[in-house]
Amino acid sequence: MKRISRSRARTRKARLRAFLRWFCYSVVLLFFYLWEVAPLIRGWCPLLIIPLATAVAMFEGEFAAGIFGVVCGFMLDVASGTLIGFSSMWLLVICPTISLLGQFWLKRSWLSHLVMNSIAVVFICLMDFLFLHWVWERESSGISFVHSLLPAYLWAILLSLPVYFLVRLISTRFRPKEERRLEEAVSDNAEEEE
Amino acid sequence: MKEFFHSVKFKILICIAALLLGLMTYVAVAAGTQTLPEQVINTVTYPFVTAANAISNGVNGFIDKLVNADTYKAQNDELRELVTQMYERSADYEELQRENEQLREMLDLSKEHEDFVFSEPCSIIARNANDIYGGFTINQGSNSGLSLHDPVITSVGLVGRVTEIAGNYAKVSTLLSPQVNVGVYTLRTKATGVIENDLATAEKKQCLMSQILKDADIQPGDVIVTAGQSGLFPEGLMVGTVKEVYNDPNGLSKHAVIEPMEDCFAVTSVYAVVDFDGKGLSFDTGDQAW
Repeated sequence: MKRISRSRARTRKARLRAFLRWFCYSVVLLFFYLWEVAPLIRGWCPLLIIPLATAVAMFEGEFAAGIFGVVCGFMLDVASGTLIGFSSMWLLVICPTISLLGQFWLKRSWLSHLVMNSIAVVFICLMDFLFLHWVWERESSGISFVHSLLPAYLWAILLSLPVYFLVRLISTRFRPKEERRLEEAVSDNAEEEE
Repeated sequence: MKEFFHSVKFKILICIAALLLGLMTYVAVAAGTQTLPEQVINTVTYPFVTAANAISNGVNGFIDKLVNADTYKAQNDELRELVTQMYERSADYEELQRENEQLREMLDLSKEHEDFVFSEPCSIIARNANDIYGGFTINQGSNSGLSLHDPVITSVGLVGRVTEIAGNYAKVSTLLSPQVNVGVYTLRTKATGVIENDLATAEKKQCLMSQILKDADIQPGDVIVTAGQSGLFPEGLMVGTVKEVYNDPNGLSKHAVIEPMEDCFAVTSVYAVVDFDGKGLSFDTGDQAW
């Protein structure tokens, strides 16, 4: 009986930690969304939602990463005023991919995130240019892309590191102890092998 | 990894992708309508966006002040200079307008009195201190052709005469002053008299007409003009209207209280009549103006 009650308590704690973890991700997402719609420094609104989605994907399962990617995409589209669902579509593909790569092939490190995030940003940027600017052949679209969107995408690459460390902090802080210890052991082992 | 592609979760993600494609198509076709995800995001984030905007505006305003302080200072200096120029222009414009009005009045007076030679329009530059009779100083003097005793008028009527003169200014004593005695008559009955003022009437901003014959027909409301017999004032200049008539205590003559046509305390510009027909013909001391 005691064992059953202990197990239930552990499950409850794990659920609470998971809830808190996702709550923190959501707060960070909201903060980045607000940064885009009401930039603290006028004219400087890096698309931090993309590095957030990719960073969360590195620490979470593929399904959760996909759902979070869709939400992030919606927020990004609403903030940017682009076709709703456009970014969600790409993040739905990218986030589970990163999550799977993180689980099976890639080491969870800032360098991996930087590379994965850069690829993701460049890919979304290209899709953005292709479908929302180039296709329409508007005279001003190229100018607005170069002067407004391109810098925002570049900032999304440059600021991926702090976003990664923030997500890692949230992820490790609100993860069950056993899981955390296991991850640390795997990480140490990988470093020793290196 | 293979398990994932065969799992229900993967199928759900595929369904979501299909939904997203449908959503995108719907949004692209029905342009202008808000979709459910947009509505949800906008509704949920509205209070946060409002607060964030307030913070953002505050921070941006602060940064803007710091970053663009030099620009704003330069703009401020530029605008100050512009405002000063505008004020100067406005003052010039007012001055020109006033001068224009004065010249217009002068033209009218010249038409009425063809024999009059006027000075330049004279502005009142000072009120004589402690002068209860309303004496003042004008900005034209002997250099502009004015001379002592020249009558000073406005388009309304007589104001006074020059009692002190210098090169570029002159002092004027008004009709209320005992220094200015003017021979006058009523337009209606030609009843004559002399403006001889005293302190009591001057305090009420009125003049006293004396030496009116006992039998003379003079009534309140009669208009008084200059007689022009002294050579000091031209004939026919409006002086005022009769307010009250009463008999002298000795019973030999009458007196009349005159309300001057022009308010000597309110005038801001006047003209000196430097020459007119009959000037100086019986001019003697200047204090007696018959």
